[in-house]
Amino acid sequence: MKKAYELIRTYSQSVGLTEVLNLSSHQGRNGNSIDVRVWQGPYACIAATHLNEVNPDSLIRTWEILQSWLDEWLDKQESSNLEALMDGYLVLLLPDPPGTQEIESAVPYIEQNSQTCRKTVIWREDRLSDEPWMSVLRITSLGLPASAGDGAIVSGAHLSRDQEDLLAALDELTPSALAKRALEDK
Amino acid sequence: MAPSTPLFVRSLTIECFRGIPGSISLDLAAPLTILYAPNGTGKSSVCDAAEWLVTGQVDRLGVQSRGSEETLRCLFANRDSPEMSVRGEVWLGQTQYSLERRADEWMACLNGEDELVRRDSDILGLLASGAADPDDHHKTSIAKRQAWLRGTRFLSSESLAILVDPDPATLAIRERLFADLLGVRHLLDREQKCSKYLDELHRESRRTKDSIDTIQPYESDTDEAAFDQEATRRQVEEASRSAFKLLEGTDGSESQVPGEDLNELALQAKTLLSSRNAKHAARSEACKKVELGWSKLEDLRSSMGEHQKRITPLEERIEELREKDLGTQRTLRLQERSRGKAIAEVQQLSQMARKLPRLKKRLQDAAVECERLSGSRFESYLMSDLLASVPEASLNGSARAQVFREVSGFRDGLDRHLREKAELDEMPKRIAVLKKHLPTRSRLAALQKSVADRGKQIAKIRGTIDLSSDVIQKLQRAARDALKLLESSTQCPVCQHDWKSRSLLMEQVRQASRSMPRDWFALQKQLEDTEAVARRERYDLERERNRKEGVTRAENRQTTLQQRWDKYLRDLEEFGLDTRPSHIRSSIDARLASLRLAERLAEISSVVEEASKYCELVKWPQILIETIEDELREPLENARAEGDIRIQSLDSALKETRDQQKARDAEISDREAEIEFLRKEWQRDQEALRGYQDAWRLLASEPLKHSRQVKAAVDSLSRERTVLGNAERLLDEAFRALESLKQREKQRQASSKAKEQWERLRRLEKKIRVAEGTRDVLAQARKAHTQDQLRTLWNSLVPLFSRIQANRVMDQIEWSEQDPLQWMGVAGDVRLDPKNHFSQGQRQDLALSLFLSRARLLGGTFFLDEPLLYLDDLNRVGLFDILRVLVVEDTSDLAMVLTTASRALVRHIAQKFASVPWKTRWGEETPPLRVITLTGNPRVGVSALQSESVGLRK
Repeated sequence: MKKAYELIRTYSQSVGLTEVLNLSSHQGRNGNSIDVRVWQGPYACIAATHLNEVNPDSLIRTWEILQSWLDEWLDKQESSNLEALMDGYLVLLLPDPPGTQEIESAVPYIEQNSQTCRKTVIWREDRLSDEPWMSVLRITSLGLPASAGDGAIVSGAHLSRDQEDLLAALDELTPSALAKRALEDK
Repeated sequence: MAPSTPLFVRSLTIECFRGIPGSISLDLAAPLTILYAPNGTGKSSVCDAAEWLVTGQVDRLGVQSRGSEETLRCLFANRDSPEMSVRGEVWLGQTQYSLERRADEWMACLNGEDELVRRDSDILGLLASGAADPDDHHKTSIAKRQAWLRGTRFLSSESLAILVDPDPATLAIRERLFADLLGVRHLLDREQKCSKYLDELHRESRRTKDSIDTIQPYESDTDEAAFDQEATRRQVEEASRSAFKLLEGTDGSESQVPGEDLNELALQAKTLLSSRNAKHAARSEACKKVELGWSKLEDLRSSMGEHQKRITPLEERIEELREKDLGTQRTLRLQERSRGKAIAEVQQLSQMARKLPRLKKRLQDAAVECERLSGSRFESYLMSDLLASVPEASLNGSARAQVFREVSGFRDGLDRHLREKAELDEMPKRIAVLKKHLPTRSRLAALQKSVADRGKQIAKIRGTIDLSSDVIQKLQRAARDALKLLESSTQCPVCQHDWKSRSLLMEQVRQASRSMPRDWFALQKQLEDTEAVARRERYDLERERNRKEGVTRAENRQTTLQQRWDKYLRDLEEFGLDTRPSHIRSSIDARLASLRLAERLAEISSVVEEASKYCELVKWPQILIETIEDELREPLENARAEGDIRIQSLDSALKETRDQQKARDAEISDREAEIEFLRKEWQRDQEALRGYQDAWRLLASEPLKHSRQVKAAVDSLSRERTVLGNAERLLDEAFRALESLKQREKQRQASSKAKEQWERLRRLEKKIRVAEGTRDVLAQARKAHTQDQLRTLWNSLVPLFSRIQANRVMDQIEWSEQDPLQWMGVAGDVRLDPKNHFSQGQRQDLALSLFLSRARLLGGTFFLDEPLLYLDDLNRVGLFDILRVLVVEDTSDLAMVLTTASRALVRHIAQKFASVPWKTRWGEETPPLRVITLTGNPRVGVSALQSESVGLRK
């Protein structure tokens, strides 16, 4: 989980977002408490929390608490920032992939809710790559990892003289015309 | 591999290009530029213009470098508008260039300096230096660079639309699009060309092999050593010439010596043989016929004589029968005539018998009429008394008719004179009435004067009208001219009077032109009225004159009638007749009645006289009318019975005569048929005889007299057959040798052709090897480069794809080592193939991810035409976030140009960028987002109306 937060921090920085809050045990309206960490810049705010134990009820409940909290937070930020609009991003981190059908159904239910801000549910995935928390990069406001290359241009293949001549001829003529000419060659 | 330099298009100026009829300039310096415009305003034209400027092509329109004006110039551009052109301020790294492209001209120069390069290859080398190898052919390098620039910097809406097209026919196009996005399109195109070329070569190779297989059977028969060509030629010549000698000997004629061509020699000999054979066959056939016919010849001749002998008596018998037949026909006519006569007599007798009762009645009526006319009473009604009482009965028919005509004429004259007498009696009254109405002399004179005066009055009016017509025409012409000419003058053009006012003058002219015709019509009316009065007066004068003449005519008529009546009376007195008209009329009527009675008695007498032909009336006319019927009836009945018996006997005679005639006709037909048969026989024999004679003429010139001649002909033909057989054998031998010569020639040609085909096959196989090698190298290079590209882009490609995929189906994507274009979506344990299992939107998401990840790597300007069109709402928001990330990221140096037709999307993306800080680029502060709104359309003109800078300015 720590690694996930670390990745969010890294890719937030690359787009000018800095961590502005690390709140342990936020008390929601219904008495439940969660941890909240916030990265913010002039145009966006990412609020992330994690669940230690996952079931559909706890997932939905955590989302609702964090959603409520983020709404208030964004109102406050926009008021103090001369009414400038700020996008909110809500991130729920799960320790394991969804183990049951109920949890799998709850994930799109949360993610496709278009109220107030974009929601992303992320879990640890060991199978796909060396980095199990790579799916943190699904958060649309985070920066992207650097590409491996240097932007070099693809050129051609290594061809013999005959092959180059053939390609030059194919640039000049259609394949069937060239084949007909091949018959006439002595 | 060579490092790439970011290519920025900082600004564009477009003139008369595609949907832009005039000129627009666009500032594209911002990291993100949104071109917003309704459909048909020229958004895609801007992207096309940029592509044309940078690559010299518009790929989606199939427009190549040269001769593009016809397709690309705006159809609505005025002819006077400037030339179609696109200009752009372009940055390559830190170097600024001014790039301009016209219809067939391309120019690039360092900003503010002189022209730098003009050739396509040079400019493309400048813009995409690393996209081709230095050793490449210049055309190859141009194609490679164009493909690279197009594939990596332009994503058209058509390309994205193809990705969402479910039609399998677009699979190849999708493959090319992904190749474009990965920068391996030039390799793929060449690889595909090589494959097509290889297919063609293989096809030609198969054809060549088939041709060789066809030639080989000829080749295998060749036995070079065993064949002596010269000896074979000699054999042909000798055999042919020997055949000639034999054949010439057969008919004794000299043949033309054949030439040196062996084939020709043999053919001539064969033709000669065929001719001889045909003649021999005809003569043999004739000989057989003559042999067969010789024995029958005498029989045939005697048979023909016999036929002729039998025909003569038959013809004589027919002649005899025909003469008899003529007599019979005469008899028949006589009998028929007698029978007709008898029938007519019987019919007449019957008719008379029927008339007898009526005859009696008519006689009785005549007797009564006689009594009335004579005024006396008969004691008994004897026919002689009746005839005696009517004097006219003694007259014959024509005399009676003459008398009747005279008496009738006299009666008609009496009637006419009586009518004239009545008219004469009326005349005095009539004359008195006429005289009463006679006009006085003074009235006649007054009438005559009035008529004369009226004539003068009419002539005067006519003169006035003629005069007026001329004046009216002149006046109307003058008015028309005046109306045309009097634009400013106030003076009358006719009388020169100054009316002071132009409108007044015009009014006067109009009135004059209107009033004159009105007067003219009044004159016409007056003339018509006067003429009517004159007609009436003339009629009155004529009537009065006629009254005077009528009195004179009546008096003359009275005198004439009186003279006629007096003469009539004198005539009557002269003939001693009573001059009283009533007496004259009764005398005439009595005479006419007597004549009619005489006519009736004459008719009765003629009937009795007709009947008396069949019976003797001794006492006629001393016979009583009451007994005349009884005395006539019996003789008439008897005569009719005799007539019937005569008719019956004539009928039986007729029947007998007709039977005889039929029998003779039948015999004549039989004889004629017999003659016809004999004549046909004779003709057949004649033809057979002629056939034998014709056949013999084929064999010999002298006439056939005895059988020795036939035998000699048979022997001669047998000898000739032997000679022809020898010649035939010789010629068979010659042709066999000739055939072996020809076969040898064919083998030689086949061998030569086979060598040629083998040579061609060898060349084709060599080319196939080269093409296969090229294709394999290209395929390997494509795979290798694709893998390189994917490795390079993978870190950003996968997150980008997963971010656009808001509805998470795939956890991520992976690619195949075997075929890098065969990507798979990973969804748990399931693998999804983009071709078959990806949704249309997912394919497009993948293309956008690839394009953007490459853009992020390369830097510079990128054009995306309507990229948001097929995305759902959440995916659009995801893409907006990605765009903002790409703008905000420190590592990216991008300028993206997007087009959209949705105002809502523009508002949304503006909100996204509202708080994004401005950037410094090329030493200037630049907003992160610039929204350019295009308005108008190609017909009315397109303009870049607004340019809105969005972002948080420090």
